[in-house]
Amino acid sequence: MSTFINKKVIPYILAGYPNLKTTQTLLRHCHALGLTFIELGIPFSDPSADGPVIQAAASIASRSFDFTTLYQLLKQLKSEGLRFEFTMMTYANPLFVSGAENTLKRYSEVGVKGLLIPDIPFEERHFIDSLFKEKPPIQNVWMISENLSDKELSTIVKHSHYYLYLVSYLGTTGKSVDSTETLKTVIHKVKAIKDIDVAVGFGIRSKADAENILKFADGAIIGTQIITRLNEGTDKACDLLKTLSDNAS
Amino acid sequence: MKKGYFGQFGGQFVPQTLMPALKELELAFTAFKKDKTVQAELKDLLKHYVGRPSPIYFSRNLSAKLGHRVYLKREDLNHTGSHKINNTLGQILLARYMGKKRIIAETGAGQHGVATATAAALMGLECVVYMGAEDVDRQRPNVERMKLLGATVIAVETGSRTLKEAVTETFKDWLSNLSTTYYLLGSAMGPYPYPDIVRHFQQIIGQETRRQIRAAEGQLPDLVLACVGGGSNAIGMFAPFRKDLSVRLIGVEAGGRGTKLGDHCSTLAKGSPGIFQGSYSYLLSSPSGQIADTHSISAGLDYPGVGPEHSWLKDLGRAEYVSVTDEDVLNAFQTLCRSEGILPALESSHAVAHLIKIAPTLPPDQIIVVNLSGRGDKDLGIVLAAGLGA
Repeated sequence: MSTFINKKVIPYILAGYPNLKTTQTLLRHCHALGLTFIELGIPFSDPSADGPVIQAAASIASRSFDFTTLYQLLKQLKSEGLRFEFTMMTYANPLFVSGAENTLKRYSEVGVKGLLIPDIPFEERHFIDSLFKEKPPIQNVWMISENLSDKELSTIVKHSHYYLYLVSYLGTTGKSVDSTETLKTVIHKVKAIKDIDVAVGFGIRSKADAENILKFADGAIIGTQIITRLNEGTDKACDLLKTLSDNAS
Repeated sequence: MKKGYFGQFGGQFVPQTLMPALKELELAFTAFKKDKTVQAELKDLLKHYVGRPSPIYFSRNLSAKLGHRVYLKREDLNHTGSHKINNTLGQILLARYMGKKRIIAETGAGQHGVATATAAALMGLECVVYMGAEDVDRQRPNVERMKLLGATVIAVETGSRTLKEAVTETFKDWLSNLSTTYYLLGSAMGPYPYPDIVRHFQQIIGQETRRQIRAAEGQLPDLVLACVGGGSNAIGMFAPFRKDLSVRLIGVEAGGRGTKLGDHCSTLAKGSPGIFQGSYSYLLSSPSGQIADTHSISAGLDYPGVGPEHSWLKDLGRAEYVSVTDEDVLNAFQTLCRSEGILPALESSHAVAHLIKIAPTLPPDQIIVVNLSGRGDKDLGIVLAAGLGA
């Protein structure tokens, strides 16, 4: 069953940062490196789950972002034969305002398989359902963390059909993982309920961190560090991706 | 109605990691309300520490001028100078009840920050207040007050450097310190149970007003006005009148310097529903769903969202929401100073401004209550810079 992610590093690419041309460059680069499972970040002016690095970047990217232009870019990549498996990571409001059903329907045609909304918890899943007359073929990806009760965890796992996003610590993105023991415990609990992939995110900063996480998790998401390198130059971000892909193979 | 919702509005739109903390808060709040000892302590503090009940004052000169019977609910006379203390005392007791040692809060104008710092000092709890850097500049006296009261004030430099960023940063702090920290939210907004908690502690405004106006006039008012930013003073005033359908309720938002997005904070009057800072409610956002910048002369109303219960009251048609401009507000401020000898907060001046505007259109001799939610000492720098008092 667990075949979706297959021990891979999952780059978080923030769409439109610092511009869409760079996003395109990064995606091509990822593809060439075999990094085809991507968390695609939709910029939001006020990202409540992100630390200062992604927040600053998202704030800049959000000023010129629109779903249509990004869709055209992804369509272009697809027409060139580049295949990706995307999880769209978007705060609720941009998706809601854009008209979620149409947006997701179009995006499902260019490789988006998962939807991660950091400001909609599992308890509000009915709100997501209420946005669709006919649900596009996209799976919700729920976030889990060590502070959920066994009952809450169990309910979320049973309602998940794609993979789970395990938040490595309580806080915002861009800090560091303190301990892997609690993460192992959570993953153990998940797998006892259901054979489903678990990707770990938040605080993974390097190849070594990712290797460490992939010993016991199915995927390791790296985001803030890509933006930090991007701030030094697109080539620096590409260098980082290269080291990660070596590790993933 | 679904728990946590007002009609379709409200909910808990927060990261999953915050949900256990909101559940803990909800359970504690339910137990807290039933705990007779702590309720007696709150009642005693409201009476002897805050000075409740706050009076309603028949504004003799303004009434004569407008041709109505205008009463001011004097929340400005509370300890710390605004209605905010009603909520912070209630929540600080709740925080202590939950065993939390560290209090965090956001503030716009600084009134909630001062009221939180005051309550934390009283209970001997550590207090950290997040405030937008622009608000730190324009509401300097309140920053100094918070520091004198022992709070740490953190100036937030992100985005528009005002209240919305302060709220975001406070949520982030909470997310990183859930076990030790209590987020003392200052308005009737955010994720459930906050809109319920803040309304619960602020509804004393409307409850007292009902009794007081009956004693003074032998009947309920025809019209009640309050300013609306997040909406705490307004919901505190409106909630006890909600079922009295003869009482017209008007919430007054900040119209700022114009009607273009970015120039005002007229969330209910000009926005549309969206998801922001914990709830589904009316919101000012761009066509692509990014949260809009806002402007108001009053820092306390300078916010693109609004509490979900107000969104519900608007859609029900039970309350009306309108806006007045910065210029109207300065005129109202001046009018109240000169006619009654009362310096109102710029926030509260919005409610007065709208009353002045509509007074000629109302039937004569209406009984009207304006919630004077705070005093204006903090605003002297702004009103003097705007040319008043020259």
